[in-house]
Amino acid sequence: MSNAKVEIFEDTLRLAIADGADRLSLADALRAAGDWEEVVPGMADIAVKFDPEKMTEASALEKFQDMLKEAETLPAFKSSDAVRLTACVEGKFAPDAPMVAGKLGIAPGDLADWLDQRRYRVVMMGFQPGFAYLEDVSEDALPEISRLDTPRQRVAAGSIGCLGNRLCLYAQDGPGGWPIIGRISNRLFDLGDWENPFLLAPGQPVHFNCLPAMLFEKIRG
Amino acid sequence: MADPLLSMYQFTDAGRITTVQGIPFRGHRHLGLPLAGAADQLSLALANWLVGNAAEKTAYEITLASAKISASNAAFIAVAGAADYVLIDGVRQPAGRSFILQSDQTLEIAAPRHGCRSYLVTCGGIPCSRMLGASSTYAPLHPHGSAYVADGYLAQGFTSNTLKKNWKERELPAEYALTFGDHFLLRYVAGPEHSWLESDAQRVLQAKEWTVSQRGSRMGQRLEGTQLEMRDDRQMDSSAVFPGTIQCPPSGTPFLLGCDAQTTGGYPRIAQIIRADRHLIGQLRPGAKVKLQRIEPAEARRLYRSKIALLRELQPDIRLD
Repeated sequence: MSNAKVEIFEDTLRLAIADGADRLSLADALRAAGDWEEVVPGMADIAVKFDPEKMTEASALEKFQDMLKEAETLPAFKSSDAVRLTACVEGKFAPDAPMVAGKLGIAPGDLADWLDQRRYRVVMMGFQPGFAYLEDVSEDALPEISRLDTPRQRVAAGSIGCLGNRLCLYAQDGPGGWPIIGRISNRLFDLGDWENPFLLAPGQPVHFNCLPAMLFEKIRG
Repeated sequence: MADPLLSMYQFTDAGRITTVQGIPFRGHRHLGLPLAGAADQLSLALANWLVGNAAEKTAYEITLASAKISASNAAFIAVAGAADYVLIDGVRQPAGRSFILQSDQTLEIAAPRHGCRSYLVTCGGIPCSRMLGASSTYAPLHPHGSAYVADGYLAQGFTSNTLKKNWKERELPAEYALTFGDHFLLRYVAGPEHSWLESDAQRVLQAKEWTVSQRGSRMGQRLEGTQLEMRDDRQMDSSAVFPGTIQCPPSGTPFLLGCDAQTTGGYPRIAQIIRADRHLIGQLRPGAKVKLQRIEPAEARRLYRSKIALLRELQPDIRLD
């Protein structure tokens, strides 16, 4: 990675890294070093922000390159423990489930089993605090599902968006254009936990436990 | 030493959008949490200097309209930012200086003629709880308005005889006073996808006088004037964006991100407003005119270093993100 081309801007550096595990292990190492104001992995790159009062162009580049050299000997990315999210893919929680099930070639009634069996990992977070993009870790080629022609004005917090191999989890109520196949009961950003309000972290393995709507409603309280 | 006592005052008119802003959320963009904090960090720091506070003591950020408070007991107060003046029991006094608001007096912060946001601070700051080290409001996390200040809102400040000894009225030195007009110059460096713009669009970005759209917010605002042409309709992977990033969506109307901006985005990042100028984004009101000027990153860093050095002489712990 040390020969990779690093782009420098006024107070950010950017490096393209296609491999998800490499990207996240480097991001963790950069964050642990404490030199950077922000370390933000994207879908295929990593960006860091630095303070030009504390670092020159040369020293920022040098620090970053040093980290890339070290990264070659970094242990493989160690993700947080897997988390199981309680979900419901029925009725009002899943307005686009019949459409998505159709595209996936399964009966709408089988969507819960289908989702339970799949394994995901958080590939990136962004958009809203706690909002997570999930990637299917299996190699199955699923049909691609496109975004809605007209985004919804309001998607409920906890909604599960699905574009085939990729899912997203909405952390707050807000606008959204992904087809919604269900809802989770877990809070992705918990305003009641002031020390660690985030449920998920980049790289974390995620799977689902789907419940019938009546049971799910009870759990949500 | 006497314990600081709480003084109470009430927003009899909370204005249009008033929020509590202080230390922003730093270092959590990888988890999707935006910066938030004062939209104009410099005006907040100057207001706090006027009452002897640290640069990021929590304040009320008042947007566009006027606001009114009345104090139940004496408070040491300052207003800085867009407002030109305040009215104390109807008597006009320029903003940008601190004063003691006596009990039962009414303070009106005038609607600004130019600029967008004013900061109302009290000596000692506003008592508030912290989340992840921050004392700021990120509005989408407070959908029920808990962090918004509404009419009748009871606010608290600190007061005590010990503190009162430090109540020395001050005025901003002329070289630090900020005045805003209808026209803003924002300098930028080329963003990661700047070269995706047609060469003529690269020129137009600088040549055009842009108008801030009517429906802006702390998240960002559209810059209206013309549609920028891209070389092709290439797609990009979602990648980090920051306050001050200018994105160019398929419509061709550039979008300037503010302090509450999302942390990642999928539209080409054609420009990044330089760090020295970013606080000005918080003063852009609908209809304001913006000229954009491209400079090189090394020059941007030099401008930032000299600006922050000058500001530190006044307010040593100031931070501009």
